[in-house]
Amino acid sequence: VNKIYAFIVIIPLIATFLFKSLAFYDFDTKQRYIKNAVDNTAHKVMITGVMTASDRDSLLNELRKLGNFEEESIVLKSGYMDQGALSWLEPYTLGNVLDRGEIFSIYVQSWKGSMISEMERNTADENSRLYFKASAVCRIEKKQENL
Amino acid sequence: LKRNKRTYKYYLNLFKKGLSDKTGGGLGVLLIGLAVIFLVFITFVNIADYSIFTYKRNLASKAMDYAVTAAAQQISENASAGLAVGFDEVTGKKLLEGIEIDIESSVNTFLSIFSKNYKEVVGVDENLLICVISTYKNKLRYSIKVANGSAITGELQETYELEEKINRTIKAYWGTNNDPGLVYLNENPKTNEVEKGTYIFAYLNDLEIKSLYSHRKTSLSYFTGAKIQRE
Repeated sequence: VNKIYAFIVIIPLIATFLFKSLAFYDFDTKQRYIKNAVDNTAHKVMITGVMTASDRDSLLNELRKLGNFEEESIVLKSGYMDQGALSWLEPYTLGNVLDRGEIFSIYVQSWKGSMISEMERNTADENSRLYFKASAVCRIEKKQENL
Repeated sequence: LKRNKRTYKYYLNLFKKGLSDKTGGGLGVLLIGLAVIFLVFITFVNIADYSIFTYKRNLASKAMDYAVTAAAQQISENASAGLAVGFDEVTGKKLLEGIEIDIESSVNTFLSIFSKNYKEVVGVDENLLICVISTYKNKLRYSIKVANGSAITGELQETYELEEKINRTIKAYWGTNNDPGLVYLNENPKTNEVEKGTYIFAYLNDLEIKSLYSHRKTSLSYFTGAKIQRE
């Protein structure tokens, strides 16, 4: 067997591994950063009791650096808790001041699948896509004076 | 058998020919190349597996943070007091006497917030220990609830005795099957994390985290004060 034929087999295999590793690294790193961004925002709301439009914009800016995110990609909800049981969460309006004990939830999902999803996906099935997503559910700590 | 022998020899010759320099030596390159690729593949899968584990462990750790801070709010009704009753009139210190975290509702709060933030695991309540602490007549009153059992209450003279109390409970409940992790509250008579106040401590024993192919176990603990309001 000539060495050339050997390389014809080996080089594409190495290239495939290289691209798959890169795609996985890309997904893993970005996913961690996205979760961190969501957690930072959730902590801010947990301490202050409110999420302003500028908070949402700065979160969106951060998310846009990492993936394909639009305003609709961020879902905000709030609700109550009674004796440890969580109530049904309702959509949260930006700037709405929440009191101590209330629940706040953020969920983000990219509208386009990640690079690894595009590489691995065999069918046009939407469910097989791997999106960047992260969520955080927290309880407000700040007792509001003016409520 | 003869035919088999011939076939074996035929393949052996072909193999030798493939390795020989005269015929290009490509087979050797191919075999070494495939071996290297296989090694790279194994390494890659291991790295990916560990990476998924650390990501999920971070998720569980964040979930623990949200759950304990939420559970710490399950305090008794008299917690929000004004200046006259909320502070000592001589020293000006916050008075936290008798303010307790309700252990039953704090466990429920913990479980609902934890499961919202970390959806992977079922049966967290089986591996959970919650300890709430409050002061009563200059003593430390504690209440410990393990898994689905009922809460054990008691009193301690000094705050540093709590660490041993929690560790003894962990050993008594989970110590028979395996060696459970120990909790450190940095406690000794000189310095400790616990003060005489209203606190909550949560410990999750052997939380199973499923990765690419491995199932690793990790124990998490979190400790926080009740952040009682004084207006």
